[in-house]
Amino acid sequence: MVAVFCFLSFISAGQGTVSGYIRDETSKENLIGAFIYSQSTRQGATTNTKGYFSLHATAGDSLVVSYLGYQAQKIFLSNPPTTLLEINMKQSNETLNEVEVRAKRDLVAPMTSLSGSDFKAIPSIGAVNDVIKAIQLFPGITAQNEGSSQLIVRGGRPGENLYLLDNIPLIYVNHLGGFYSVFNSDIINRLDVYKDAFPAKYGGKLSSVVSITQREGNAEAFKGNFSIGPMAGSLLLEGPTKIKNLTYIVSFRKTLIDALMALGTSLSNANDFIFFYGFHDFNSKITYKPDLKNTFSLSLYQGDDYLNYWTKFSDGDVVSKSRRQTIWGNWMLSGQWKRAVNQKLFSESSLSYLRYRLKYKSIYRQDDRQEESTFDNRFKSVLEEVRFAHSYEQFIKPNFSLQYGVQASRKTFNPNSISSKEKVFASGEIDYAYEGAIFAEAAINFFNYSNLVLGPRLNGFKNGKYTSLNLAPRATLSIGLNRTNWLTAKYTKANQYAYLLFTSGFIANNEIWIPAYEEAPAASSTQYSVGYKSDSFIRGLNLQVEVYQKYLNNITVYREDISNIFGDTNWKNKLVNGGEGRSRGLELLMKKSYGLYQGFISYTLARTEYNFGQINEGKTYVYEFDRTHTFSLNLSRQLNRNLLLSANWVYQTGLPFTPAIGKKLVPNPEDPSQYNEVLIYGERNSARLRDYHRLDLGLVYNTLSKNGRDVTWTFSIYNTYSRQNAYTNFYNTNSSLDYSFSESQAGSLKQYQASFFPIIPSFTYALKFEKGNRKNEE
Amino acid sequence: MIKFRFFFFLFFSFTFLLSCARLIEDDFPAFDNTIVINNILVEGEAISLNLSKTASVSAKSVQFVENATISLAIDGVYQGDLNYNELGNYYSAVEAEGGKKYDFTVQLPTGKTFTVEQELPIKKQFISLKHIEQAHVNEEGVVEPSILMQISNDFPANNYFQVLIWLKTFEGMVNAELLNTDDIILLNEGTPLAVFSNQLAASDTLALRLNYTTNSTSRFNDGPVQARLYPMVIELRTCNKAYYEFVKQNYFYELSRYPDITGGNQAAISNYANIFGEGITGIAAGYSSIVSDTIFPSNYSNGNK
Repeated sequence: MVAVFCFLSFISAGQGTVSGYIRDETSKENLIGAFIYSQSTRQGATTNTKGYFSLHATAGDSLVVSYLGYQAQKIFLSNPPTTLLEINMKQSNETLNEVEVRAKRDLVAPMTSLSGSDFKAIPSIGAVNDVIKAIQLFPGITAQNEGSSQLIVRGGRPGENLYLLDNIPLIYVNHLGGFYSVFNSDIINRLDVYKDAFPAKYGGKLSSVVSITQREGNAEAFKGNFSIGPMAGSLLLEGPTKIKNLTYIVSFRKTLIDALMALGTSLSNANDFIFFYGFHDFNSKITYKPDLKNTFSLSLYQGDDYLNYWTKFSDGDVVSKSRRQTIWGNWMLSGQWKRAVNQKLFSESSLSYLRYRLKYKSIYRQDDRQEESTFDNRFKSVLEEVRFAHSYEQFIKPNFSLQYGVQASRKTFNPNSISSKEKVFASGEIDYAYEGAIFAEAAINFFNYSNLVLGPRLNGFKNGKYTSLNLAPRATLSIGLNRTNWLTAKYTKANQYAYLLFTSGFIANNEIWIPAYEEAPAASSTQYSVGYKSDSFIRGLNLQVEVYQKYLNNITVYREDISNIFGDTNWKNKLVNGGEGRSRGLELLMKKSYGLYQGFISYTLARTEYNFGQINEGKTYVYEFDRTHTFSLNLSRQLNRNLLLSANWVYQTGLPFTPAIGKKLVPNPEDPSQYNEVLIYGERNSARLRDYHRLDLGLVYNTLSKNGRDVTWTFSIYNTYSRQNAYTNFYNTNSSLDYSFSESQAGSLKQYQASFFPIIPSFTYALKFEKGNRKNEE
Repeated sequence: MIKFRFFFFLFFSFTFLLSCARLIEDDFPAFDNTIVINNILVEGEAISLNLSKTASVSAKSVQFVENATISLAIDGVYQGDLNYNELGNYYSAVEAEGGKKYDFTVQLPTGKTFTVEQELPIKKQFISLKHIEQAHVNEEGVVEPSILMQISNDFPANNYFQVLIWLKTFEGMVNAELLNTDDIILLNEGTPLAVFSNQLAASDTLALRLNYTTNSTSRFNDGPVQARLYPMVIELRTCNKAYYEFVKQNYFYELSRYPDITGGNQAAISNYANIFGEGITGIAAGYSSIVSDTIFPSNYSNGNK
């Protein structure tokens, strides 16, 4: 390392450093991943998630700045500036040409990166842009079940994905059992997904990092956006404040069906009961940039799902009421300070508080005038985290940069507490855990187009008497064959100190987080991958091919026969520890980001197996979410300035299931003199559901309202040809999904599949407004 | 266990409207190559053993084994052969007793021989039994009853139990379902059944609270809507470990038998077996039970019309 450093020092002699920010000209939003290139030094740099870059340049240099969707700029430097630059880029209405795209060079970029505008070209269920559903189209990433926002990344489990909102971890990321993700696309600047070679600053999860950077709010003018669809409505407000350089952005999204459900159930039952479900999420961010060097921001996120069931009985003057409510969701509050210490050093600090909780209560008052309830039963599962992180990004030499920092958090796990009027269980089972990490990541560019990233990370965890110290190194080597083609090799090690217990398909949330402890020690993953990456494969098409092998160790899950632990004080004996998994795969992504037709082709060939000592009699079995082949095709066409047509076609091998191979008699447990016929099952997950495929269509139509405001209509058709995709298979004497009567029905058993997502057309309407700016007044 | 049954019902109804089922397979290969032994012993009842064969998934019924020879020994003393009755059932004139070991030697018509053995536990007793008519509330605000009981056990030795609440309804004897279980011993078992061990016992007395529902409501003297109560008897089964495991696994089998599209998908779980051999499977399990006197709820005579 020292030798490399000296070499880099030598070759960089006589050069200066230019650093600064690249931003949108009108909104002043940071442009993440913008490329800036020095024509004299032939060095390039890409802006980080803060829109910041640092580049070596010379006197009289010309800098070329490019970013997808923006007009390329050329900047002349008579002398390298001693202060930070602020480069503002203008959006382009023209279709990008190939040359601009080919100028992009970003070796360490994750395989999947999407900006806010990319989501529009991906049709989704409900015509609501859903960032999580969008990335499910990319290789190595699938949904748990159809319609779900839970991610399965390279054979990992849903609880093994690190979701970051402005670099702050979130715990719960779904609404309505996974049909919607909590990330409101209106506020997203950029989304990056890492399936391997996680940057060293990220840790604590085994399988992926989903990093979402929120927008900071328009610095020039007040703007807003209101949208409404069949499921939810959302409102976004952003703009400058009276305080100079202080901007805000606020978005609120809420279901609209709550009131309708409450009204409908109330009217249909003469006010005897009310039932409704809903969710909301609230994002807000205040950003203060007193000067070019410093940026302070304060973010608040709050999102909940709620399920209410109220009943009322009247008898003369006496009214008795029962209230049952389930609530689950996140609170997140964070403060961040980003500082360009000098032209070569950028620092970032954050302090955050996060709370995930799942809460249930059932209260009954025999007479609603009584203050005290006659029945009161409550359950809660809580995970709280107070976290501090501090890091530096140092641009030491033209070909050498370094990131390093520390992270520390205190986590409070109260996984399984239940209380009633009579007694309180599990109140003492609160675990206070401490998790910390130090990390460093060196990025070295060499031989013009080659790059090495080394990222050692040391993780530590303590929960009572259980402690764990783990080194989790990561490394990425990219060998540049020429300016646009690379061979890559990656090594990734990761640790996880908290486990998600859940039951797949449970529509009301039952997600519970538990800390690692003596019997369920820290889990780890080790991943190797090699690949080929081309920014100009055929006529400028981007191509990425990767082969990976991933090992998972010390996985903890529910016992085979357990689906939840609500209220169980002895819940630890409901778990199975020490599981091992292995996933192998080939992934291919071909992407076209310019021209009239844009889109991508994604293909994955994969196999994932698990082994738990107490599941499947200790025999290795195919992972329940394993899909051998996954293929996605996304295509969009800008028909004119106002119309964007898009389509997805998805094909996947059917999910595994355990088939019945015969039947036999067993005694009736209540009356053992009687016998029942029961099925005999074969090997676990040894059969497959029918292959899955569907076509989604989308149309985005931009127009003006009567009073000159920008209006966007988004139409989507999910599963256009209404393919009956299998949600599950079942055995019955007839095709009825009402199983309760099946046992008494005569006839031979047959195998059926159940499907739940036929063709679903939908739309949303979005209205943009801006203070004092109406298009027909111009 | 917390259940959102009404929500599930609504969601199920909604998805049912959207859903459709499609036939995948109706012709399954033959699967009649395995003998199935069911040897369930109940104290006070004739000793019996059932022999049948496995069958194809789509078979109309299973076949029984009729010409086997089965000899019985109790505590190592030969008792003679069992007599064939019908439907694969072989009986002895001897009644099963708790605390004894039973050995069966089965010779199939093919000449193949194998043995089955089990021990029947001695029944434990109720120490106290109390019925609470207004104990908990279901999701619709209906006040439901509960039973408080204390039973003996052989602490620290392992014991296994099953409790059945037999309601004497107008339709006959019905086993009541548990609801809103908040008893530590029952929660520890991970099922909504009154099937439990004395794993959490701290003495030779085990105390439990069984919240149950009659799935029927009434209103009494203008009071709140409450469960319609029935006279009942409580059966306490002291099981051997095999019977305890069988009842639990049978529950898990039933739970995974049909997909619960809103309550979470369970991977298919096979039913219980503790007899294994080449071409042989089955269950050898049993219990000894006592039944309480009939409990009459206080408002039974006026409230249940």
